[in-house]
Amino acid sequence: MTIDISKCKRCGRAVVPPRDICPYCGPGAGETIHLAVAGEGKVASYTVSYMPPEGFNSPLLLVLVELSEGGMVLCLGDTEDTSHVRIGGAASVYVDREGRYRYTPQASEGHRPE
Amino acid sequence: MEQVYVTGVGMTKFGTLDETITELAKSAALEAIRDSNALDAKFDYVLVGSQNPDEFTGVGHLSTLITDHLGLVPAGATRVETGPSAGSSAFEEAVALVKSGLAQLVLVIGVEKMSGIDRGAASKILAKMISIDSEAKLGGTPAALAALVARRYMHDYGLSRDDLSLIPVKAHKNGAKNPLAHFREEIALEKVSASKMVADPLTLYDCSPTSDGAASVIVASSKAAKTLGRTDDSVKVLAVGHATDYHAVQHRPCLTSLNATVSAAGKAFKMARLRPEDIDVCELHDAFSILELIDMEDVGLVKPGHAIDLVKQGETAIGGRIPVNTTGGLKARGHPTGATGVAQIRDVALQIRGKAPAGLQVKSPEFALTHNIGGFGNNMVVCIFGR
Ligand SMILES: [Zn+2]
Repeated sequence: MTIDISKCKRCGRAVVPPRDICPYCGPGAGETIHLAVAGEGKVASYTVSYMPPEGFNSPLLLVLVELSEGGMVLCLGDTEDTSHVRIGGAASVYVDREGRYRYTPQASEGHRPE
Repeated sequence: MEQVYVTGVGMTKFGTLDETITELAKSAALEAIRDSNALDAKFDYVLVGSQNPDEFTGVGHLSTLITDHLGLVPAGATRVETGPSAGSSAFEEAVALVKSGLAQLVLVIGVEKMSGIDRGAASKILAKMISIDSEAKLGGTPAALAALVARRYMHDYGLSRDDLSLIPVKAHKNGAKNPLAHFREEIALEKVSASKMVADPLTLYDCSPTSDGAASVIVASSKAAKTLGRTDDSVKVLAVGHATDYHAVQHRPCLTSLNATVSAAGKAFKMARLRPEDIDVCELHDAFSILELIDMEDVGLVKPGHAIDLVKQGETAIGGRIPVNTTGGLKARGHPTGATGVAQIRDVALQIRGKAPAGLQVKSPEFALTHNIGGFGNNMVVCIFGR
C-alpha cells in the first residue's frame, strides 16, 4: 500500500495529492518530483461529523494525518470505533477503490486509551 | 492619494425573510442612498457582493437587474464574488475605483437570500467553497473543517469546551440588543456546550446560521462627499488588505492560525499606518466560535493561545478594551454570506458615528476594523476605518 505525493525541488515540501507546481514556491521552482511513499504518519487532528452531506452516513470520522515525509492529508476513518483516535497517535494512510484517502491506526498504536 | 469616505449606510433585518433578493438589495441600498443625502446623485458604479444568487435564488445578472430597479442606469454594474467575503471584496473594488479616479460615487450592496431552498441544497452550495478533491469528496463540510481546527487548538492551548462556549454566549448577548439581528435572545453557557453535536467538538451553537439579508454602503471621493454635504458624518476608509491561503486545509502549514488573516491584516495595518493596539472596536468573522479566538490572534490583538484570556476578562465585551462583534457577529446578527462583509462595515461605521443601537455603542471609538472570510479560512478581506 503506497500513496503518491509530490516533492518540491526547491523547498522540499511534500504535497498530497501530487501537484506539478509547488503551491508554496510557485512556477519558478520548476516541476515537482512525484514519488510513492508508505503512507505512514501521525494524527494532526480529527473530528466525528454528525451532519455530513447527503450521500454520507452519520457519524463520519475524518482524520487529518501528517505524513512522515511531510505534508498532510485528510482521510476517512472507520466510525465503528473512534476511541483510539488521538492527536499525535500513529496513523497509516491508503487509497480505497473509490480513490478516497483512508485512515487506519497502526497496529502497534491500535486501541490505546486516550 | 485620494481619501475615500463611507458617506452613508443601510441594512435590512437579517433572518428568514419573505422578501426576494432584489427587494432586499433595493431596501438596503435605498436606506444608504437616503443616509448619504444622495437621492438625486449620479452614481458611477453599482457593485454587488453576492456569493451565489444564481443557485440560491435562480436570479442571475444581479448587478444589472438591481441597477435598473434602483433607477441608477447608466451606472456601471458589477457583481463581485469571493465566497462569503464577496461583500467586503465589492467594497474593496469600490475603494479602488474611487482611489484611482475612475469613479467619484459608488453604491456597494452585499446581499444573499438563502432560505428559498431547503437546507440540504443550501449546504451543498456552501460546500463548493471547500476543496472538492481533498475535502468534499470525503464528506467534509465547513463545520467539520472548523472542528479539526478547534480540536487542535484545544489540544495545543488547553482551551476547554466551556471556555469556547463564552463566544456564542457573548454573540447572543449583543445580538439581543441589535434590532436587525437574526437571533435576538440570550443563551446560557450550558446550552451551548450541551446542544446538538454538529462536528465534535463543535455544537449547533458554535455555528453561524444561514440567513437572508442585505447591507449597503456608499463609497465616495472627498469631492463627492462635499457635494453631498456629508463631510461631517462620513467615515474615512483608512485601509483594505486582501489575501488568500492554500485552498485545502491540509496544505496549510499551521492548523491553529489562518495565514490569510495574518497577511490581509498586515497589509491593512501597513496601509493605515496603525497597529493592532490602536483599534477601538472590531467585527471579526465568527462563522464558527473557534474562529473568533483565532481571528483575534491573527489580526494581532493578542498573542496566540491567549484570546480566551481577553474574553474571560470581559475585554471583548461592549465596555471592554477591545470590543469584538458588538452587534452579534455572524452567530447572532446572522450570516447571509454576501451581505456579511458590508454589514460589518455598516456596523463599525455606525460605531464611529456614535449611532450604534442602544446598549451596543462603544465609547467614542477612533479606529475600527472589519475582517471577513471568504471560504473555509480563506480569501480574507480586512478593512480599517477612522473618523
Ligand atoms: Zn516549493
